Amino acid sequence: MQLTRADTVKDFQAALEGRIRAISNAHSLLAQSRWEGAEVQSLIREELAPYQVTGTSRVDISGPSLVLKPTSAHSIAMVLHETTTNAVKYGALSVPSGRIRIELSRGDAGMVICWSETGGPPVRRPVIKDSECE
Amino acid sequence: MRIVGPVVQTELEGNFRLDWNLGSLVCELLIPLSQVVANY
Repeated sequence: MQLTRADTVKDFQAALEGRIRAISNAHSLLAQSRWEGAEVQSLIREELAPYQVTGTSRVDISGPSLVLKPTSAHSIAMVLHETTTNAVKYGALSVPSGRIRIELSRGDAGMVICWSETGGPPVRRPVIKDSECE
Repeated sequence: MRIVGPVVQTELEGNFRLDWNLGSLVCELLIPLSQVVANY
């Protein structure tokens, strides 16, 4: 298992701190519910809070309330953190005009979180080092 | 992880499925109802 592909110690530290913060946010929400579960919308808001600017609406969250079991809440919190980090580095949140729409809905096989980005830079094929291919 | 056209499909911990469509910048995360504790 590889913790992060950071190129520098500073990047590694930032990545690690971000993941710890995401887990901490999930813990706080679970503690508030007496460890019964965490609401997905709250996990999303906590994760995106540092990137919200007062008076602007860069993120739109819609759909029914969805509360996850504690173990799942941690996993989803990490997914949301990584998706947010990707948006900040390369996607919609990397430019002022970018927007993110997050829709929660019920699908045939379960609940679906649909994260879509608009207004960001065009997608480019990532450069993958040989050592990162497995 | 498997790649279906522009979609990168990943299984997470055997519970969740993440479909990341690189062409349209849309990510779908599927959560089984067994992981949900509240009515919706």
